[in-house]
Amino acid sequence: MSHPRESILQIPSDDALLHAVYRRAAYQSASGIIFCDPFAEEKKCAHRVLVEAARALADADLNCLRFDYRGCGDSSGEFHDFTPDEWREDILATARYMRDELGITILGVLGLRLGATMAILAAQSTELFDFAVLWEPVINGEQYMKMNLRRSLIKAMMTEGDGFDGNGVRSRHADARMLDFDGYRVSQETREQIGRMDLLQASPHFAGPVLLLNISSREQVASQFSELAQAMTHARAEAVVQEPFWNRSGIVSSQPVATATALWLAELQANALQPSEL
Amino acid sequence: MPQPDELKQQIKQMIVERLFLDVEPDQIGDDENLMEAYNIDSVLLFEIVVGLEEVFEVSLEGVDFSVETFATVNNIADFIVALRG
Repeated sequence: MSHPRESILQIPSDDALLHAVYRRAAYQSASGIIFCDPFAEEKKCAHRVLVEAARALADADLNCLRFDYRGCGDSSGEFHDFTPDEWREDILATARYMRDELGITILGVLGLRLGATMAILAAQSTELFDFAVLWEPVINGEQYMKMNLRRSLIKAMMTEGDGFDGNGVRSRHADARMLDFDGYRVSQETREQIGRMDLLQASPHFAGPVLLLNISSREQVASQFSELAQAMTHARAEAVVQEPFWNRSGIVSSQPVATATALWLAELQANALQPSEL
Repeated sequence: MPQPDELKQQIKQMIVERLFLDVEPDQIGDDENLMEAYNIDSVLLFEIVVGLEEVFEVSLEGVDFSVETFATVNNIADFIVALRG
């Protein structure tokens, strides 16, 4: 009988306990990667793709840890009580756990959308990470929040009919102490913290190799992603033609992003993590 | 400004690409109800709005529109023409 390769963990982070799923690598590997979820509804939509991607990368001999930030998923606490600053602390807590408790010696971080933004910001604040994979990172938090407002406006327009009040939606997004955002209670502090995130302005100074995937219907990397890759020390930007699974409710294959990531990781391994080879 | 037929073709191409529809652009009728034919919800409508901004270099931020504006390719084409004055 084979040993199960997937186990449930509880990882302490400050006063919280983070729910995590650990998928052991197919062989005896000391390399690992931590998955960082996107924000709110995008996390729900992306869940299955992230599960499948973690399993694919584990089959490619990487120990994979997926976890819920505090207040999210099965982790302790309430969503509205926490902010991105605390979620970045959770990323660091899981990294320490991977190194200290699970014996991972080469560690990477993989984030999607706002999770990618938080991942690279967390990675550059520490020496815990050797490499990073950013899937369609949110480059400008203010722009991201504006897009969320526009999405909310369109949703309200489609569902409220004649009762649609665009100014009411705008006013709530701007002023509400606690905003009901697709069923998630988002505090003013969280909105402000996200609004202050700007990867181009921050010029992430993470020294390890970085793969930046621009996931869309286009075969060329969008200019803002090229610009971000150029601003980083050892980053490569690639375009992946795939549906934006973080805002789709149907079945979307994980194969394009997982394959692009696995190929890059194999290349890294072949080059023994020498960023100059990128 | 592209000719009307070219404009409509560009709109259809953008819709097929951004929504990953399993149809050829030419299969979309000018007066076909897009909402019903392709199950367009608020998420997909947002994709269309952003796609129009990118392809036609217009900004719809702060512009008043309704679901009807995007109901058909003809309606969208009229909207783009009006936006560009």
